[in-house]
Amino acid sequence: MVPAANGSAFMEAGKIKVMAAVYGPRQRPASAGSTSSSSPVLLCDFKFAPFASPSRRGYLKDSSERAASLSLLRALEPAVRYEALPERSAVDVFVTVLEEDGVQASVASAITCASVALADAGIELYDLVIGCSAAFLPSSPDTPTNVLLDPTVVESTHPSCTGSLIMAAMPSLAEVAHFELDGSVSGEEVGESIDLALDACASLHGAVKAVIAGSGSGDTVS
Amino acid sequence: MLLSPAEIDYITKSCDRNIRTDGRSRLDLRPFLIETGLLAQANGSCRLRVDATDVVVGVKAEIGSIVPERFEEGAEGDRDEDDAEVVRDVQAQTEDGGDGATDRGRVVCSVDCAPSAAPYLSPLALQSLSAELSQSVSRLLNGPGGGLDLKSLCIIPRRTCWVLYVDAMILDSSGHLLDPLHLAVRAALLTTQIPLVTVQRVGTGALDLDYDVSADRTVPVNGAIGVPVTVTLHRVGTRLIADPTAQEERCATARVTVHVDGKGRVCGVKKGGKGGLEAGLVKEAVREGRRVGLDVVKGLDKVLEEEGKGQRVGFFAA
Amino acid sequence: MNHETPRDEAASAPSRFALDAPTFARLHPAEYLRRFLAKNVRPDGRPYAPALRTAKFRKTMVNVGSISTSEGSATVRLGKTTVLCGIKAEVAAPPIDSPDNGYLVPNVELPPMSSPNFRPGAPSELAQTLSWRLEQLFRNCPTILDLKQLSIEEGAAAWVLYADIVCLNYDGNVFDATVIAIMAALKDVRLPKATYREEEGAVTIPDLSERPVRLQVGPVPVATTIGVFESQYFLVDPTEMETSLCSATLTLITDEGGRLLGLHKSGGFALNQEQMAESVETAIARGIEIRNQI
Repeated sequence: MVPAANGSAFMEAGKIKVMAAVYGPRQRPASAGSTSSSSPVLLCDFKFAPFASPSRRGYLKDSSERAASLSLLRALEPAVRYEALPERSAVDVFVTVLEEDGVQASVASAITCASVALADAGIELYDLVIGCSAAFLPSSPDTPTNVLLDPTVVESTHPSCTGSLIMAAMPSLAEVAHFELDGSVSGEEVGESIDLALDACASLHGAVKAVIAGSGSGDTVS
Repeated sequence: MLLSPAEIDYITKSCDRNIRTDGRSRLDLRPFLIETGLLAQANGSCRLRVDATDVVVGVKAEIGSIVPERFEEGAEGDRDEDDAEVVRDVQAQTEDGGDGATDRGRVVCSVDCAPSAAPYLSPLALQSLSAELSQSVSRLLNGPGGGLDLKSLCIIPRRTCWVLYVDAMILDSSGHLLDPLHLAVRAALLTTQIPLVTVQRVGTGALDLDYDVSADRTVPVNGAIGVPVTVTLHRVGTRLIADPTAQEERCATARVTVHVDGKGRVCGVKKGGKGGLEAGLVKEAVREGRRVGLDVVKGLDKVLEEEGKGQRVGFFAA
Repeated sequence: MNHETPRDEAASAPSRFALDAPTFARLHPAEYLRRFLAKNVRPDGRPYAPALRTAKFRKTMVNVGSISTSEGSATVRLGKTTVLCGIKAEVAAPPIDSPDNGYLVPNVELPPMSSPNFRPGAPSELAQTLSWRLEQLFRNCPTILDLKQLSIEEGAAAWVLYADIVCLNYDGNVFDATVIAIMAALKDVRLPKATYREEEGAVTIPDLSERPVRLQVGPVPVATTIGVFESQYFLVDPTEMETSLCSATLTLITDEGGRLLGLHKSGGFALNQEQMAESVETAIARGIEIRNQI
């Protein structure tokens, strides 16, 4: 998708459109690297395009974008084989959301897209990281449980939504790479949501792997 | 902080056997020492000490304008008040359910880590640690699980509100900082008193309101009792421990932070650390975190009650 | 005895150090380009000829309306250069000196994801220059988009169209691509009906889902950029590699009637009349070709 980059990926999930580009391993810029150690470092940058949301976003990163950059880093770190990267190198991951449909769902898609881009760049990974999101809404006849997977913007910003979560999993290793939940929910709901999200990640994992193996052109995944 | 492989192995194995290096079992917390109301200039304050960790939190309430975050970013350039008014009106009418930010106050958090607290970190790393801690507190208090009744901090809708500035200073650290920080913030907010404000109508228009700040009467912050505490469980070896020392933290491969309020509701969960975690451990962390968190809340409330009665008591977690 | 003299050995040595093409391109870019042009072809396979009118642009693709959160959008691919223009509409007070006008605010972003040459941080000079040139185009030729149609209530409220152009992949000649993108996006814009209510001093939009208002676009400008390499090779629609080697650039913006809407020349090379005329011809031909796609 981005020939200038070492690896890139474009993902469309419903209305959400995310583009990720990976540069590296390349020389670490002077400003990066919080410690003076020579170990390789992963740098993540997450940004919504100005036209991506219902109301326009400025060019400076706001707090939600900075938080999402950190979430992206936390999600990808457990998967990267740092031993395979040269010393003092940096791998830059840039993710731009071109159209969003719910902040949590967009960040979850960004995580998946970024890990595919890392694979495309040839960075060695223990496993692909698949992102998934959910929202907690009161149950209704149509939705018996309180947990709604992959919520749209209408669902996640609904006044009666009590919480939302983003999960990033490495399904082959059966491990959770990153998990964050905001809101006010009961302990049982948390347990239920973890199970549902993990299942979703596992099913998405097989489909994403097939796309990478088929490699290059896009594929529709349902 | 450097640890030899032998030390790491020792700490890991002892955690597995449920006897940690200081004799605690896995989910035991160290004793806390809490003191509130120590800063005369602040509306609320608290100093919390756990072992060597020393956290001071001050809460100042100031009157500010209700401004949606976008304008604060300043990306759109200058606009005079009329433009802003028109745009905000459009926002309020066209967005589904209305923009919640126009009728509530807000909390601005800032955490500053003194270099002495983490001498092994470079200035840049220290800055990013401070930013991360600030973000954690800010996100919790301004979000849906924060407990505070932010609507009660609104004075004149769409115009003025109380802004609570929560500033924390970390003077020294011995282990993970998030738990003591959140606990100190909760204690400070519980003992915060803001001046009473009365709103009067001065004209017939919808926006012709004026407010008066009382010089001697104060009220507590609504909803402070609902502010959650934080319990972070670290994975050392194959098990989870609570309230790690600095050495134990170094051996941890991953951690789960659970925010629990007084009613046992989970107000936030966040996984951290560079390693992965099995789903079962995440669920266990949430379960145990809730249990420990409820104990902490009960203990803190008891101590503050005693303090309020004039008896200064050190706080020992159950 | 026949010994090979050291000189003979040295003469046969270069063949052992023959470089493969990509390495040669990195080490001696100018020579690399020269060798291609000498054979009348460009590194990306396009034919090269001194006669400008035979010059070819890279394959251009335009895709409209893909971003539903924007009021209008267009993606343009010019070879490998990809730009995405999204237009968002907001309401604000109209300009004091022209109270019956609205605003069009173009902005070009060259994010670090689009090229290894761009670093995170404040907008680069290149990005700022591109934004400024776009702004100048619309300001100097107000007939392209009549700002009066953006007014909701004279002196009180008007639409502001933020045209944000994000470069997704940079391979030279972003300017031509951004002009196509912004024009295609403007034509795609759908606005809801808005009325100004004086008693409230506010603008109301009765139905956000209904978007019947389209923009009237005047002459459609098309840009043609030509890079000049070593004062003799005119490279139409230069790639990133060619741009980095060109000492001068010439951009012409033309409309349907063959009129020149803008001309921008940077670099020290001097054009003679014939070259100028040929450039204009090329630009007009390109314009005809592209307008069919927008």
